[in-house]
Amino acid sequence: MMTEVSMLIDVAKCIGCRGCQVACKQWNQRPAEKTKFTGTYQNPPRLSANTWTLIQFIEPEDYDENPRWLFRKQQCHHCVDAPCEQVCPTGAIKKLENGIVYINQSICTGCKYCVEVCPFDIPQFDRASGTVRKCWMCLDRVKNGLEPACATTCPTGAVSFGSRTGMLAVARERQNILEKQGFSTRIYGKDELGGQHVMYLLPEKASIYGLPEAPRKPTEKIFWRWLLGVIPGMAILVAIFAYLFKQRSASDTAASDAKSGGE
Amino acid sequence: MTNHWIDIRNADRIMIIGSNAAENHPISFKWVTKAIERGAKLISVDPRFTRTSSKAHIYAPMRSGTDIAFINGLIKYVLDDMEKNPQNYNMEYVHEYTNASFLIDPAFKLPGDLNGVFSGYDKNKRTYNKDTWKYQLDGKGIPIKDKSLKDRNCVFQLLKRHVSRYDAKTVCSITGTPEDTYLDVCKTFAESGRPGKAGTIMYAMGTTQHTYGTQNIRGYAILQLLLANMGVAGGGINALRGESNVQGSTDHCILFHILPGYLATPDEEDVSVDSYSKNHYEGKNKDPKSANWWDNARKYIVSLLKAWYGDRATPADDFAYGYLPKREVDRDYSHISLFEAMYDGTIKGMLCMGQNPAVGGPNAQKERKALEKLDWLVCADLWETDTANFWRRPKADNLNDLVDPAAIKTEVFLLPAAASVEKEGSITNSGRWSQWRYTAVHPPGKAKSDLWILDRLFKAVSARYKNQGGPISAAILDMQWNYGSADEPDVHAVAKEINGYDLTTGKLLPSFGKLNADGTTSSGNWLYCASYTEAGNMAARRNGIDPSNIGLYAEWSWCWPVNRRIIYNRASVDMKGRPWDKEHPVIAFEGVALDGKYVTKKWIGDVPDGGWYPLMNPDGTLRDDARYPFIMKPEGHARIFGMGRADGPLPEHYEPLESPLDKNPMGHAEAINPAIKLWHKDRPEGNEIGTPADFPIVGTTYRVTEHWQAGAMTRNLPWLVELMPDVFVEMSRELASEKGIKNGNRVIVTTARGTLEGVACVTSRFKPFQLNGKVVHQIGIPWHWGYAGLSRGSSANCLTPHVGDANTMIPEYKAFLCDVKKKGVA
Amino acid sequence: MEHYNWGIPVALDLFAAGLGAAVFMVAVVADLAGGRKYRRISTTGALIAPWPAILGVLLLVIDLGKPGRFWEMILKRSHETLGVESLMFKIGSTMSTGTWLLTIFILGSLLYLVITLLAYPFKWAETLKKVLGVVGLPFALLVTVYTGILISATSNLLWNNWLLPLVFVSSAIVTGIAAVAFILAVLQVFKPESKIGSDVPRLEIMNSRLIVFQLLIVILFIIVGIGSAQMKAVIGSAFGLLWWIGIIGLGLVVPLLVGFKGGAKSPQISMLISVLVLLGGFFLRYAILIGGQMHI
Repeated sequence: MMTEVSMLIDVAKCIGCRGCQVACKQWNQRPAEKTKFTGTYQNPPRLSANTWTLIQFIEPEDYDENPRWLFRKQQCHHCVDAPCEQVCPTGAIKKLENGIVYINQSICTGCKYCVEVCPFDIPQFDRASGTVRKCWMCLDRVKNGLEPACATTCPTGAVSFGSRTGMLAVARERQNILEKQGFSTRIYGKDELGGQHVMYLLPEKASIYGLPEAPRKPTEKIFWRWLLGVIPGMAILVAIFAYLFKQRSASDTAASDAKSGGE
Repeated sequence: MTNHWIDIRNADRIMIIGSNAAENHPISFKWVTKAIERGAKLISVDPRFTRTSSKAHIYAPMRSGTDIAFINGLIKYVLDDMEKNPQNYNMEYVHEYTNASFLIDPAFKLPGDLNGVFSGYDKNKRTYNKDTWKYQLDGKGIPIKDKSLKDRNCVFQLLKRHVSRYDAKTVCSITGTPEDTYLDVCKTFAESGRPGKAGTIMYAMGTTQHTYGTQNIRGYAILQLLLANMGVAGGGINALRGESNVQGSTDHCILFHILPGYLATPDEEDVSVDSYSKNHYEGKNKDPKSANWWDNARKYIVSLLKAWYGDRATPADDFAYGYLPKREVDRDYSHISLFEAMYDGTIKGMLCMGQNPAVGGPNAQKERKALEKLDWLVCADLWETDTANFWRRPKADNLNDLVDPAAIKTEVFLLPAAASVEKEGSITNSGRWSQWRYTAVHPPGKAKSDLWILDRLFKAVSARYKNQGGPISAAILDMQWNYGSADEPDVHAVAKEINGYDLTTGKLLPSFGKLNADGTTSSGNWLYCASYTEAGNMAARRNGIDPSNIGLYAEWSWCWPVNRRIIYNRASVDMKGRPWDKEHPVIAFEGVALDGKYVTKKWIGDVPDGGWYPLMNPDGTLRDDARYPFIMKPEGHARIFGMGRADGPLPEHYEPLESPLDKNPMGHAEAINPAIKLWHKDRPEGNEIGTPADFPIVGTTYRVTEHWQAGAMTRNLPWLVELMPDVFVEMSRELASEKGIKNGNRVIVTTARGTLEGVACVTSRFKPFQLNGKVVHQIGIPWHWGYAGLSRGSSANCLTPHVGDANTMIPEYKAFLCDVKKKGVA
Repeated sequence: MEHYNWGIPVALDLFAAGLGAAVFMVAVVADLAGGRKYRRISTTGALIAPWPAILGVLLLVIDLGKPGRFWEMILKRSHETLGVESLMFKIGSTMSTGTWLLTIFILGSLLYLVITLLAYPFKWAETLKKVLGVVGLPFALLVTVYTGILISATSNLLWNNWLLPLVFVSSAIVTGIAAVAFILAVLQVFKPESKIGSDVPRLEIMNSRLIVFQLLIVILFIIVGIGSAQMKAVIGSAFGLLWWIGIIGLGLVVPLLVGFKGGAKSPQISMLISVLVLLGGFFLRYAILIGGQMHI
């Protein structure tokens, strides 16, 4: 039994240096994207099949009262209850015992359903390969006892990696420290979507960082939605039946009469 | 750095000023982050809110070029508070270890009394006669002190009078810092003055690249001395060097005014080893309790000559001292001067290694033109740099409108060079750690290490002198040059030569204490003597244990001097040798005491700054065999009053050469530093200076995490270009709306010297400065771009002027006047 | 030009699969309600039902990043050996459920088509047709619901609306009726002397009542989703024109008015009205699918 691994992203420690972005591309041999400077340091503007992790640069609106510049490392959360894995029609997306959720490139058909289902907008379609790609937490490194490339390169310890229990302990310890320093924090990913293998220690509201406050599995009420389609659908069919049944006695002529009557 | 990277974690207060450490030295934040975790408070002082500021407890905006006002106000706050709450400060440190108690010549005058200049100013020469900048001496030639710090002429009182003009209101009207924020900074940083507490100042080119850059640092030093922060763990003033090995290159004499180990370069008055030693070093101290380490300089220059000339350096020949080039007295040979001389056609050729002045040099358009005057240019680099490409450069900011290559006669050679990971050798980091590196991968193609290139160059030049002769050819031909017979020179032989030998035994020397002035020892750099001994290559050590618990890691690599990790560490203990900070002791005296007197000598912890007895016995009696802690100063005391500088013994606020203000805010006759050389007056061609009427906006330049210096290494890497694809111009929302500029618009920045095109980055992180009711805007531009490589863009240095610091001639890159408009708008 | 994850092929599939299934349902219900009386309706429905669904599936396969791997949705492979292990079916994956529903529906509707044709010469096939129709009804209904579930059970702010499946189901049925009416009207035009189009007005009248319901559902759908910026953009931007004029105006309100006036006055107008309904149905899928993927 492999131990369950986790990554902890301690947002308060992130200096937005983006070493992680480059380390990710280097280890996973992803090509650079052609970008433009558009008025923000954030680049590429969003995740893509070749950009699996991205530092979001956030300048909150209330700067004048409370100057801040926030950085969040965006990447796959490796959910326990992973919607992408649940909807994958080919089984190409697999949850491993150690918690890593990865896409088998030999099986993926590129249907892009996972892309639309992920609450964090993580998986991205790769036009070149026709498959969907995302962070796989450097499974090849982890299998060989190394940390993911981004965690290895992070200079400040904002990205750390270890067993899930260990990371939770670190997160709680940091939470105590930050609390003493006047920050109330939230361990995002501890319980969300069944718990996630990438947890964020957030000193501000999740929505400021572009995260859903209460991420929901989009498939969770699917049965009711089926019913909501099926029952009225049946009702419509019954109505049609009833209408046609009633009209059965009326002859073709009647129908023609109705038509000519209108003329 | 007086301390080192890891030591930042021991700080209780961290002030990052003139540095954007999080962006330009991200690894420093490993330790800043640890300090903050321990409860340290971080203060970020910067014209704009940076990634560093994002992690700070206090962010204090400050107009570029006003550090001295900012720090002098802080010093005033500390001095005032010292009077009210002396228990919060380490007064023993101040009167025993600094020159606060020293009496200064009564004829000395402060700028507050002399309309902005210190006594001795010569207006025509723009220099100072320093006759009054000196201590009062007693009959034995020892400086007179007043430990009560009451004497009107003592340094402490002079300082107090000097900074009394810098009250918070005045300071903030100069710097533009909100007053409550400023007072918060003062209070917070002053808390590090409490005995047992430590505060560090991290600075970089934002501090140095001003016409008074040296005085900026002097300000930090004075503040840190008053707060007893020098020599202690988590203290110090820490220069974050701009490149991984810039400390090493300075140690090994990359600058014109120093030889290896910071020995002065000889000038034309230093005709012999004897006169050199006497003119620069000897006879400066009469106090027997001052170690005055530079008194040993004769040993170092002789050992250096032995390393260079070997057997040809004999006492009879004055150790071949005559071969050393001598510079004209007070003549400056720094970057700006060299390029001005090139512009004149005086300099005919340039060997450019690991440098890209066409992007990195100030007033870059002029420097690019200067390159046209060369007969030949050799560039050794990983890529074809902008400098190597100057003959097909754009005329102005339109990257596609090129100069005519046929009109340029310079012959350009490009030597492919190996990257740092492609060769073996040492790198000395900002914390003075010399760390040995192995060859990780071999260089591609025909790329060669710098050592290989220099070795072949020397051999070729040497052969030519041998065959064809030439002026003072013996200076070349007599040089000792034995680095093995393999294709790649033996880098270990170089490292051993730097360490030095006992020439009588042929053994490597264990430390510079063994160097002699009689020609029996050699050392290529006395500061590095102990780095490569009979015990092995110290820089290659990788023992990760830390018995000190303060992160000294004494057996990891090697650090100059003599593996001392925190310099001035004798000031981290009281006069009896007991550490001020019991939690983070750097050193401690553990000698045996008998009847209240120490009888055996034993220091534990870091290598002490001199292993003498403490100044005082446990019973309070003073010891004659002790030495003052600041051993590199003739008087053994740290200088609050620093008479060595060209532009004044205390820092005084002056405006940048291009200032947005009409007059000096301190009421001086002249706005700018009175001791700087004015290139635009002496040599107006291509050295235009703007006025606030034409160029009302303050401009500054800086770097970003994603690019490296002049960009040759990073603008060619797609992964980094992806992160930062273009030059941008950061500005406040207020300025942008005044100018009709929207975030992401292309804008044109103009100075008296040139223009730049970039993308507007409109942000709340820049705010207009309120200076006495006047609104001054500032913009900032990263300077990494040029016309060669994968990512091309205008160079910010086309905007910056040719003017330098009064002491070091470092260019004033950080504050100039400009205007900005949306592209396409008249 | 923005690249959409799911583009026109998927919009066409959502439309066509629903349409085919609805046509099938209309055919079966007509057959059950009136037997030979509604033979024109049920036979026409049976003849056309499989083809839109087949077209939809083909479009879906083409839209895959790796069309050659479409069979991965049917057969499950091992991650380790990449060998086939079993059939691939995941109840929680609407894509997987839909794959099977469509497969079953296409096979069933093709069989239904054959039996419908057989029922002309062979009496016994008549009963078989009824049985198969009843068995096929739930699958057809599920296919129409599937098109809505597929995109509503996502994190897309526009699509994740609990009314979306119903919007698609009712739209599918409305377009299904229009499709049958269209074919009958066309045949009428080609054979003006026949009575082949005689059911068309009845279908139009029936459909107008359903359109009232459809309009209510669509308005409810907008109200439920109005909190999201995406919805505001879809009904407010350039898409809004398509939405208000194409889908609601021409696609629903005009046919509704015609139906309430007792049906179109000529088979030519009937053709036009049916086309409006069909186009409206497609634009509904298109606007929702593409609108939901706009970066705002």
